[in-house]
Amino acid sequence: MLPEWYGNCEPPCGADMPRVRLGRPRQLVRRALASLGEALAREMNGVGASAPWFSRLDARAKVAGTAALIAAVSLLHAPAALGVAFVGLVALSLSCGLSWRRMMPLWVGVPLFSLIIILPATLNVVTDGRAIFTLWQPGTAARLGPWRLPPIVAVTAPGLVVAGRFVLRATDCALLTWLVIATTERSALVSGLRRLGMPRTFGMVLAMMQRYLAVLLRAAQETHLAKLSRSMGESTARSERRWLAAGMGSLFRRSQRLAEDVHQAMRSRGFTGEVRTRASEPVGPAGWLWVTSAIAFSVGLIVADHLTR
Amino acid sequence: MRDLIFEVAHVFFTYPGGSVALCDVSFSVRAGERIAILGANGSGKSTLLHLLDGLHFADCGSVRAFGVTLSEESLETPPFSREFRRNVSFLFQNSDAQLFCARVDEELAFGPLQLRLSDADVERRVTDVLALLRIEHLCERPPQMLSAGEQKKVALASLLTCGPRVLLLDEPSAGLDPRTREWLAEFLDLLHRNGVTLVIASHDLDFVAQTTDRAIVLAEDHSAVRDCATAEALADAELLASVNLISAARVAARR
Repeated sequence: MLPEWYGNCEPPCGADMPRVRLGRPRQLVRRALASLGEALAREMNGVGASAPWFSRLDARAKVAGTAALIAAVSLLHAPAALGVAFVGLVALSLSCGLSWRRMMPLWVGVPLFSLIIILPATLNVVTDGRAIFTLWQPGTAARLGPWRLPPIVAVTAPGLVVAGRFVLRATDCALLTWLVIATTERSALVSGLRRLGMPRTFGMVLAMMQRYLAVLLRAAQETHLAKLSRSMGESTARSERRWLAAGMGSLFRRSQRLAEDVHQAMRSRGFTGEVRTRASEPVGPAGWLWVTSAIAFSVGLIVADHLTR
Repeated sequence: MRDLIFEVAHVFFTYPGGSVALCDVSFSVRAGERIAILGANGSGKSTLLHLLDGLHFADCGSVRAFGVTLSEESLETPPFSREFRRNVSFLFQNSDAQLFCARVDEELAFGPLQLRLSDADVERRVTDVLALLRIEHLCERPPQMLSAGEQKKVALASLLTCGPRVLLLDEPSAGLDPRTREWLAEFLDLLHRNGVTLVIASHDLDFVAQTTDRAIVLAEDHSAVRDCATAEALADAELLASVNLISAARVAARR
C-alpha cells in the first residue's frame, strides 16, 4: 500500500509559466560537458573528412616528414622564405581536404598568442636598432626595478623583423602539427610515434588516456543527466557549486575504481609490467614519397633562405 | 589428478574495508566441466572468480590451480605464471575495464604479445579469432565506438587469442539483447564441445540453465550452500528463494 501523500500533486501545466534563467554553474557544467562531448566526437569522426591521399599515409611517414619540415622552418631566417613555407603549407592543407573555416582558428589564435609572447622583443629595450615608433619618453634617469630604462622606449625595425620571424615560425610549425593531427587517427598517431622511438610505456599511457577520456566523459554526462532528471525548478548557485564539487569527487572515485579494474584485466591477460607491441608493417611507397618530398622541400627552403640572406 | 583444474578448500576472503566476501567455500573444478556460480548481488560470485584467476588471494584456506597453490609468489614465478595466464582467462563484467587498448585489433593482440609469441603467430591468432567471431569489420574500430553486444564479443575475442583451456565469465549475459545473448550461449556451447572448461558467475537463471551442467550456489552469508547439477539447483525453488535468486511469489507460483 502506497502512503497517502504518494501521487497527491497537480499534473504539470505549462501555461503562464515564468521564464527561469539557469544558474551560472549549471550553465557552465552543461556547456562544458557539451563542448567536451563535441570535441571528442570531432576527434573520433573528424579524420575521415580529410583527403584520402594524406590521411591514408603511414603515420610514421607523416610524423617523419612533418618533423623534417618543422626543423627546416625553425632554421629559416628570411621572412620571404617563411612566407613561402606558409603559403606552401596552406596549399598542402587545402589539398588534404581541410577547409579554410577549420584553419581559421589556428590562423588567428597562434599568431595572436605568439605576438603577445614576442611583443617585448620589438622594443629597443630588448632589440636595439632604428626606432620607427616612439611609445614612451621616460627621461634619462628612469628605472624599472633593477633595470635602467633608455630615454626613449620605441618599437625598432630589427625588433619587428624578429617578431615577424617568430610569429611566422610559430604559425608554420602549428600548421604542420595540426595537419598531422587533423588527418591521422589518434591510435595510428600513437602507434606511429611509438615506432619512431617514443617509449612504449608512454605510448601505452597515451592510448589508454584517449580510450578512458571517452568513458569518463560519458560517466560525467550520465551523472549530469541523472541530476537534471531529478532537479526541480530553480536552484541556487551555492547548491550547484556543491553538486559540482560532489560530482567531481564521485567521478574521481569511479575513475580510481575503473583504473583498478583495468589493472586487474591487464594482469589477468598476463601483463607483468613490460609493454610489448605488435610488429610494424613496412612503410609503403606513398609514405616514402611523402618523406622524400618533405625532406627535399625542407632542404630547398634552407638553401633558398641561405642564398637570399 | 591430471584433469583437476581448480581445488578451492575452505576459502575465506574479506576486502580491506572489512566487508566479508567469501566464507568457508570449498569445491573443485575438473577439465571440461561447465559450472555456474549462482548467487544474489553481493554474495561473492565475482570475488570467487577473482580468486580463481589469481587476482586476489584467500585470507584463509587455499585455491590450487593445476596442482599449484595460487599466491603472489607462484604467480610471479615465470614458467607457472605464463602457463597459468595462457590456460585461464577471465571475462570481466564491465567491458570498459576489459577493453583498454585504442583499437580492437590491438586489444586482441595484447594477450598473445604478453605470452611472447612470434609476430606471425600474434597476427594469425588475431585474424583467426576475428573470423571465428565474425567481427572482422570491427578490427580497426576504437572500443568506445562499439555497442554493448559488440564490446562483449570483442572482450571474449581478446581472451580467445590466448587460446585458454579455462574461461571464467563474470555475468556474461548482463546487458545483452536477446539475439546477442543467444549467440553467446551457442558460442559457449561450441567452446565447451571443444574441451574448454567454463566457470560462469551469474544470477541469470535461464542463461545458466542453457550453458552449464553443474551449479555452486552461494548464499547471502557468502557461504556455498549447494554443489549439484544445474537442473537440480534450478528445480529447487526453496533453495533459490533462500539465497534470493527468485522471489517468494515465484516459489508460490511454482507450487
